[in-house]
Amino acid sequence: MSTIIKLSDISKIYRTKTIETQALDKVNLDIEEGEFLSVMGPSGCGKSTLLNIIGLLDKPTTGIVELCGRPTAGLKDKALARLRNETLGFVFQSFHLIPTLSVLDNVIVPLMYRAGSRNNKKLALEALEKVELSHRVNHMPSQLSGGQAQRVAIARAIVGNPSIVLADEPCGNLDSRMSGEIMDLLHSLNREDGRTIVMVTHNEDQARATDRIIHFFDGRRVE
Amino acid sequence: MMRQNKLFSGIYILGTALAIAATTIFAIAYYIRIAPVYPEYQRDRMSHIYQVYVNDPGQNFTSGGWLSADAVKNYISQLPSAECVSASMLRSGTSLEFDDDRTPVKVAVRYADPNFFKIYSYEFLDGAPFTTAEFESGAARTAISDRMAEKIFGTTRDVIGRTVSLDFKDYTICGVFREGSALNQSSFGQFIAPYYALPEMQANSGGSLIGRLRTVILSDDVESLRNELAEAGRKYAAEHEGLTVDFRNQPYTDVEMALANPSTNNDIDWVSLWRRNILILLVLLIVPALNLSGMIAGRMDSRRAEIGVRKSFGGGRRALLSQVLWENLVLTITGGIVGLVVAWLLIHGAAGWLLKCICGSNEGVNISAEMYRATPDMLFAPTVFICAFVFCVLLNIVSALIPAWSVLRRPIVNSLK
Ligand SMILES: Nc1ncnc2c1ncn2[C@@H]1O[C@H](COP(=O)(O)OP(=O)(O)OP(=O)(O)O)[C@@H](O)[C@H]1O
Ligand SMILES: [Mg+2]
Repeated sequence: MSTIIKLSDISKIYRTKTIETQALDKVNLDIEEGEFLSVMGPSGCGKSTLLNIIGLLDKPTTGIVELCGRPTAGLKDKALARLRNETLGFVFQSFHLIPTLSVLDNVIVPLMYRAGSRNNKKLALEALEKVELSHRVNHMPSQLSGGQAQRVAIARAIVGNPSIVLADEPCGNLDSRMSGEIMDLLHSLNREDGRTIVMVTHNEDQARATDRIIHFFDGRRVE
Repeated sequence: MMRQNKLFSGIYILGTALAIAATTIFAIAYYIRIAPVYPEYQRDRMSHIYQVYVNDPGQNFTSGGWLSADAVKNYISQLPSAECVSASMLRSGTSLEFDDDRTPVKVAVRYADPNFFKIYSYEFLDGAPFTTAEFESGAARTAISDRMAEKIFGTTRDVIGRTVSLDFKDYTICGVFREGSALNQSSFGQFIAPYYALPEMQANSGGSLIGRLRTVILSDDVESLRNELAEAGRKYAAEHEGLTVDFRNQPYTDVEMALANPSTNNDIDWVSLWRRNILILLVLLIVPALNLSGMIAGRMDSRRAEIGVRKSFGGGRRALLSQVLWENLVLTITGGIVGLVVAWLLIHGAAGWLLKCICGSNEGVNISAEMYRATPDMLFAPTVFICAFVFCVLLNIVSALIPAWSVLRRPIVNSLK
């Protein structure tokens, strides 16, 4: 197995006019291809910041991020967008479905930023089938339950066939039954499709079911 | 394609439509006064003497006014660079009486000379203008516009030789011409009659320069005309001891006249003129543009999460920007088409009060709203419509570009909080 995500000496400092926050402090982390990793730690310790940096949504203040063996520093907006589009899929705590688009159109979004779009609808339907929502394709996001909305978000995250799925508290807004459904889904993405998954969670049980757990405290990795 | 909020789209389209309608109407009103349109096809060669100022130091008195027939004949017509000179006046409050029991109406009568028809290309549907002999003898002849003929006789055919009563005097109709636009107040008239038909014009002016006539000159060289006119003023002053004559910087070119819109007592005041035009431009264009900009900014703000999501799934700034602009373009063009239709309908249906509002009473002549109307020149001026449209669309795009770009530049994580 090869390292798909490699973080070396990552620090992130947020500067506002009045204060400086060290959100991450010299973090080193290697994640293997096909691994299911949980990130845990108290609120404000930098978990989301870590995920955003892995997902190229944010840049580290210092340190090197390598995805699939390639360093990402110095890439232009367009190249970053392309890398996100092809290798990464995001699942957010608050779903972030686009309220004006139907379920199907929401799932198609990542495909819109790719060249050649003949199979978009077919691919989106397949992704929706995977999350067992084929019967809701024409619903609007407001007509879905929380669990269904998160399943649509997962379909959106995998429709472009990314090798990495980043999930920031995917069950944070869901009750335990729906959480169970989502976790089952993530595990199947990992086992059946071989996707690498990095998940932030506050739930011990969910974390224990994954391959590896890392803990954070005050921007630092702790064992 | 991002689907739009209906209310937002509606207001956006409406705002664009209003801006484009207003711009178009305004542009049309100016177009009619500046471009070579019927019957003023020779505008690039036309210039006007609006008034003359005569000062008598003995009486410590300056009077300014239009020109007398003598002044036109003895001085203006003699200017070496003047190819053709015509003098006329517009009486827009002339009373037209009917044979039957219809109540009299106010009409605009132009009292002119034969050269008037050489400078203004009036198209005669029937008959001809009054002749030079008729003009000299002060014959009560008049040409009548097609609209007036329709109104009075119900037809434009077989009206030659019939009479109309203007200010209680009978005039025999010599020709029927196609009516122009009241916006063009140096050529407009519903009747065109010889000015010597007016008793007060036949009276001797006693050699005074000041009279009732406005003068238009055809020439290729306005600068020379200006010098020659000043020289003619000095010559007149030399012949009339003690007087000084001032033509200021006249003649004014036709464009200057149209834009400056001078009132009876003042010269062209270019500063206030530009201030006014710029103000109008601001109101017409910048205000709606700022509004639309603000709307886009607000809209972009409420779509921050959506933008964040699209960015995280591979939307680059350029892709997103072009998407926003494309959406905006669709709305703008929809609004633009609505605006053009509205402008067209307004000009068609409400030309009177609309044009009077925009142009006011030009050049000291008060023309009533019903004399203004949509002429074919206005309704079929594709260049103006297209230019106003393109201009507004460009303005809209810029006003969308700025807020859109500023939102798209923000870091993604901030959009996804
Ligand atoms: N845009 C920002 N500007 C300034 N400070 C920030 C910003 N984003 C995060 N921070 C700070 O960085 C630190 C880490 O934030 P982060 O969101 O990564 O925490 P977290 O571990 O995800 O917490 P939670 O479990 O509550 O989601 C916090 O102290 C936070 O206040
Ligand atoms: Mg967090």
